[in-house]
Amino acid sequence: MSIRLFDTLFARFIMLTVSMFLVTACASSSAMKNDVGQNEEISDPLEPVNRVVFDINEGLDTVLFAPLAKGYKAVVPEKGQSAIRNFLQNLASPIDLTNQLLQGDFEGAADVTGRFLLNTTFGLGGIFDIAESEAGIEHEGEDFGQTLAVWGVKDGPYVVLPVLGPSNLRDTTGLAVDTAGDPLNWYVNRTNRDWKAYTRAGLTGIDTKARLLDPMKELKQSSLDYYAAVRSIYKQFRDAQIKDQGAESFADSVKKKEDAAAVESISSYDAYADLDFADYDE
Amino acid sequence: MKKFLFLALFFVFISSSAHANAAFEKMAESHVKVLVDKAISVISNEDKKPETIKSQFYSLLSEYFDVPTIGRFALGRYWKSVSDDQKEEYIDLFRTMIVEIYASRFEGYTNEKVEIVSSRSLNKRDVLVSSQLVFADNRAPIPLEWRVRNVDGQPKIIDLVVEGVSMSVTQRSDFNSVMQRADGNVNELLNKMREKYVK
Repeated sequence: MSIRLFDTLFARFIMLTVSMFLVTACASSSAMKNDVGQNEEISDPLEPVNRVVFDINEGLDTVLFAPLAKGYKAVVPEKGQSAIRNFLQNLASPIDLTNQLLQGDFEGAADVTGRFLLNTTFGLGGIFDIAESEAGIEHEGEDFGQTLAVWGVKDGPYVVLPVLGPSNLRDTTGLAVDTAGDPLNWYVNRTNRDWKAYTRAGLTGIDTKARLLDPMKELKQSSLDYYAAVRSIYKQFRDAQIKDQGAESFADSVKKKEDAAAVESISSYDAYADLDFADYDE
Repeated sequence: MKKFLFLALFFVFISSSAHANAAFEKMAESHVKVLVDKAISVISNEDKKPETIKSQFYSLLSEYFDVPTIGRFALGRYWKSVSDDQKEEYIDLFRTMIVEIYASRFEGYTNEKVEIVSSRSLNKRDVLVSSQLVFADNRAPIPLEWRVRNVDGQPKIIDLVVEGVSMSVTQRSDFNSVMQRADGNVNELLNKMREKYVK
């Protein structure tokens, strides 16, 4: 194989990132901020382009990805689905670990390491998440976008990536770095096992899509401006993840500490706690 | 001595206000608990006609939520520029919308339970009640947080946060985008709401 997956993916992301920077630099003179909340301002100077990409993704979803995900859910039993999810999560351990360390979260790093060792051995190569079921160590996904955020990098403009969907400049950069830095990608690349990387990417996509199928359908049915609703939820969800306040961490601390005070302290609502729901006629 | 008396009074004041808050936190918790129980009994009722569910949801919404406050928040800075008649119509449509959305959302209900975990005061009038949605199988529970406001001594829900995503903030982003694209013309928003949710 002359063109390697790693090179193409990496080159594509670098080009994308650079072009985003350029476009942003041009657009920043007329920087538009969407007034969506008192604390929640999402910068979306590329909105016209983003909406077009969003519609194309929607089209791809309808004709390709949603039917695939539905088929996957129909054919693969629940246990098989969770085995695949566990396996994929286990494969991402090197990236999780690196990012936990880069964020200075040593407790998180210890959790990732323990999970990887337990699940790879007793969990039969990662298909059983016995670290969670037996030892109570929950999975917590980390990526370089979150690391950048912990380092103080702001979101940057909102970006809808082709196929991959909602992101922003910071998270797109993070994705490029994670892809380039993943030792598994190096390995399959050096040994001409590109098909493994493709299979993994495909499976990850289908697994994610299958999980999001229902919530996204509900959101589409309930919102007037689906694009704006997705943009808002992406921001809120990432903010919660960055503070390690996602669902997984929440459940984790409920289980670990059995202590109401501990749960209060990790509540994901902090970002919005000072939204005052004021009377606007005052 | 004077200083001591002042300090003593100060502490009495502090502890009594803390006590008042603790009392309201308990009220907020049971408010959420009762609402969840009632909502579950509505959706697990034998009579599953959509109209029945909708009308029962409508009364739960009026009783347990402060809809005008949520609606005002969702319209954001545009609220000021809207006439009184339009405000009234908007709040009516907002109620209809919420009922429409949530009445259809529980069709696949399979014995999930909501457990209250804890509560804390966000400020003088708002309490955040943390709960979790627990599934019958081994899936990890989903955190649900309820923002409950003290409205003249009565607890009323003004926001629900699922996995860190606030329903009110999302609604506000949605409406604000519609308003922005319509150059601030609220009739456009009202038309869209009517088209989508009034059946």
